[in-house]
Amino acid sequence: MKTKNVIKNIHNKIQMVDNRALLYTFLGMTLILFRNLIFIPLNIEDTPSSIMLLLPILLFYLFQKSEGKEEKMVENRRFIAFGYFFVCAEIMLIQLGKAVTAQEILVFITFYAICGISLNLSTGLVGVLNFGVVFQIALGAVIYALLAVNSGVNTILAIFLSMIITAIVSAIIALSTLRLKDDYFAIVSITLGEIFRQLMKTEPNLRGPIINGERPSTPAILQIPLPFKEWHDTTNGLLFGIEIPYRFVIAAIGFLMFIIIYFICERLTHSPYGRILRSIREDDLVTSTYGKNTLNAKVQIMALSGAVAALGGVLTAWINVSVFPESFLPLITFNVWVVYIIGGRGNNKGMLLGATIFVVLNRASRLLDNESSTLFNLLDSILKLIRPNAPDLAIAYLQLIFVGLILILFIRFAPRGVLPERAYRPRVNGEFLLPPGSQVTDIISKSNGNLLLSNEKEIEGDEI
Amino acid sequence: MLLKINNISKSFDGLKALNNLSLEVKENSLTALIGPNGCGKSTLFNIISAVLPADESSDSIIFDGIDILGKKTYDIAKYGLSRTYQDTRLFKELTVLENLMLPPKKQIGERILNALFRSHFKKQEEELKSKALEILELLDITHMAYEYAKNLSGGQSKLVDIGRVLMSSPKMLLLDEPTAGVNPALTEKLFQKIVELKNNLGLTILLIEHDMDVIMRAEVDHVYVANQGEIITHGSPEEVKQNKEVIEAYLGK
Amino acid sequence: MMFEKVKEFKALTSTHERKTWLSENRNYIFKNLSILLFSIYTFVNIINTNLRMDISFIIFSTLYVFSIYLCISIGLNMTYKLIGFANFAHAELFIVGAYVGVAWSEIYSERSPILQDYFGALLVAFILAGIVALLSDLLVFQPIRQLNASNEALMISSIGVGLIIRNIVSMFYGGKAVYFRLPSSQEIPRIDIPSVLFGSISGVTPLNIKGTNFALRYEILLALTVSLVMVGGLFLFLEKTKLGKALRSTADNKDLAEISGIDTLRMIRITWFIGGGLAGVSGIIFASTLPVIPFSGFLFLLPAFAVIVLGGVGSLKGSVYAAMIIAFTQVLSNSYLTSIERILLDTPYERTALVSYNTITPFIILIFVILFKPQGLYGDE
Repeated sequence: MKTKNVIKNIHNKIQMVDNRALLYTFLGMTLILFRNLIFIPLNIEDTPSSIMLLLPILLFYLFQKSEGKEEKMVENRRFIAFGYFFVCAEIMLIQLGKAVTAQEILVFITFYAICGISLNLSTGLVGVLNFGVVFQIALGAVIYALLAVNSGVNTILAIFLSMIITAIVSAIIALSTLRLKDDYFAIVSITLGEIFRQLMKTEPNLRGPIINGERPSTPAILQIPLPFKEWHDTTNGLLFGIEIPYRFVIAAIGFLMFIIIYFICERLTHSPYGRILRSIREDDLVTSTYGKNTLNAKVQIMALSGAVAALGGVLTAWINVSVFPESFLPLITFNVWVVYIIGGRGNNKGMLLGATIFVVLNRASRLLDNESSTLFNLLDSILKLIRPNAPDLAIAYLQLIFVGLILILFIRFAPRGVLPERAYRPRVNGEFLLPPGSQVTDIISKSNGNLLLSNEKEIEGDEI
Repeated sequence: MLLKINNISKSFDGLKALNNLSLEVKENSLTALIGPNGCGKSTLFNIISAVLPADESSDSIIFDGIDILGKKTYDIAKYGLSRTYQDTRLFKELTVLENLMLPPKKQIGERILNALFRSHFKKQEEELKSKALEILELLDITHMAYEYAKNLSGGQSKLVDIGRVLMSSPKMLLLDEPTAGVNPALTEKLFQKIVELKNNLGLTILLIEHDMDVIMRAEVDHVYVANQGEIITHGSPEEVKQNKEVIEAYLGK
Repeated sequence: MMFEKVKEFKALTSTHERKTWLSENRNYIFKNLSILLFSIYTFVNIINTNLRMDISFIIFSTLYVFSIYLCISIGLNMTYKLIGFANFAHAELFIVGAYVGVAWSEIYSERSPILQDYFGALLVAFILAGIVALLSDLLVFQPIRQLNASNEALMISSIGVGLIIRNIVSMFYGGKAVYFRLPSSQEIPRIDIPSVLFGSISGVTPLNIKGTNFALRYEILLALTVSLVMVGGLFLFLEKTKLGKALRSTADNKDLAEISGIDTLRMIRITWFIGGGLAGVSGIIFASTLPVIPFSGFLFLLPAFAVIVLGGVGSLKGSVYAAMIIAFTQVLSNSYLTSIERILLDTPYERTALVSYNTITPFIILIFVILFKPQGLYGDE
């Protein structure tokens, strides 16, 4: 009886577009990552492996049980959109025949997913536009690094302290600017990153490590202690008989962080507190008319988003084994925004999805930066035609133009992103809407006595 | 007197929107505030609910014995005073049920720490949900419970707005033109519902209305007529209807 | 006046009365507090013996920075007031202007630069930046506005527009610093201004009269002239001409203007063109003396917003005053914050760039204004 419920539960969960999207993404990811292990040793041609990637799409179409033509159409549209992106990336990777290191992709996916959640908290949930993501990340990274390197604080304590301090700073900035128009927070936040970066470049107190009482002359904090490094050095990462590269360890830790944050945020969203936040997003004035202190809520969420971003900063510190100003360019804020917009406003799973799409596309497009790509050469020659002194085309510029286009196009055509915010809407006999004249008792009987809004296990709904 | 407004003034850049306005609302009554467009009715509501600050020369607003002038918007709701807005601001991306479940005061789980433990508010959510469904039933729109607020028609939105305001268990309602832009049939239904709810739940209602016909009904206890930021007269609907100044104000504009 | 106010305050006994008095007299308190703080700040600077710059440098740098801030902020102010959202792509219009100057130098690289190059590039920069601004509205902002989208959507899309423009420019010019070549100060007749404390500025041989040096870089004078002429012209245009008055009424109340028969769509387009053009002009002014990189515009985004907020959104007069205040404060902070550190910490270490604390000054001013008087100096009008 219980297993039947579990199976039914899983089946219901797969019905949901978000979960299907994520599952598909991961299946595709697995194909990319283990392509080297599976296909090449078996001498499978590259083209068939692209086709194999289409299999999961088919599988998920089969699983689809949406009723109603309109529902299906909208669902399919979204699915096709990101599926397309994904397949393109995979084909690009395969065509270029270069192996992309799995660990690189994984580690950056976790980083962007965590930062995406931070942005989702402030912008997706409460509606406060936060353009200072990189500032929060940098602050978290620097504080963690300073504590860990210069003061020799225990790693876990350093992480917590950096989260707390970043949260407090974010809260202070939010408190001073959010009292008025929300515009002001956006304006101020966009420049915070640069200001902090300048500070990093010139302030000697933000450097490390201190050797013989002397601060280093380069603006960076080096020699950051890495988690599990000693174990990895001694055993070469031997776990269950496989040698795991170190990056995987960081990716695993990052993923663990993501899961914890994800569940905390989901809990918050599905609670009366989350309801207040979403109402603030919709209409701040009306929410405050109903007795909720909106400024407090906004400041609290900004603090939380700062704490989460600080975790992203810690990850950055580990990825680069150092903290230096160039790792906190405004570019990072824009990247996180793309992750947020593609993934879906208000949807935490969407952050993971958006991060995956973004990182994969980013890495794949980077491989275009060589002489063999015809499109690339064409663009290069056009440039040199107009201005003969033009430097060689760098893929970074095209990537950023693409980022800008994504921002504009999504805002214009798909402002809710690929995975829209999940509605809390039960289906009753496959229908959202009850027939007119339904009594309260009808609802109760049809929903099997389960009236919970936020923990609908048997009655899950999808969004139209 | 549940609500006493004493000498409230409000100016915008030298233009006096409210000029020493005073008014009283008796407990359990249905009082109407009427007047031509732009005479400051909505401004008065905005001042009562602290959306706008009143001029320094204003005296006080006593609600249930407490002076609420100068308090913050979110404090005022605690005393049992709720209002609607003229442009029916529902939470568009939330469902009707979620719209209704926001207003109740002092919900467990409204603070960030409590929100993390679902067991704290599980039962409360159930109760809120059934209360919301009951109110929807009173308004005859139960079947829209799970619909997005943005997909509702104009009339349905108005009903949900009223439902939402009721969820906060208010002692007094300030309704800002609840029948504006609504067809006559629905106006009738809406008005009847409002009266019904007032009688069943023992509410006090202060109503801003533009339409004289709506006011001239037996259910309305008292009418205040405003013009250019001042109360020109008040009394029962019959008295007001025959008042010369009122007729002038409405016809001679 | 101040003593009366203080007596007034002391006369009040209850906290409630005092609070009311404080909020009533907020303007007064803000103005006086700012003047007081600013005076202390300036005074400390002047008496500080560690001053690394001389007075002439302070004055001329202020005038120069003021010119840049003036042009870029007035443009931003106009579009902010009219459309209602903070356009983050404005910085990129600035960069378009700057790179017009660079391109001009490259096109005419065979001959040595002449003064007419400046004005030619100025004209082209104005027009080109105006066109780019107009295009960004037509292609991006207007379609989104028609969807009844919120300010947030417009702001995000403006970041997208900014990214695209900046990176297209980068594709052509790369990230390295490039220059707008102008005749060197030796070739232009010097402008001599009498003074007692002026010193020499690098690159110019001062004219020595009776033992005192007089010197001024011509680019700075040009910058000041150009910006004042353009902004003055704009003011006249807005005040006197029919079109200008229509623009102003549209900015004040779009719906009212629509009803009065003004073609608001046309007004919006003209505002974008002028706003963008002015940004381009400030780009040329910037490029005339400083190296240009694609990110130069982004660095001016914050000061531009600080100027607008301090002056008051919608008040062009306020922007003029605010630009002067912020330019002056920023130039001063170069020396001030260095010295204060040396005095307080007494640690001798090399300072690689003064830029860090310099950048933070407009930010601090912005926060200060937001906290105490968010309407700015003239925002109430």
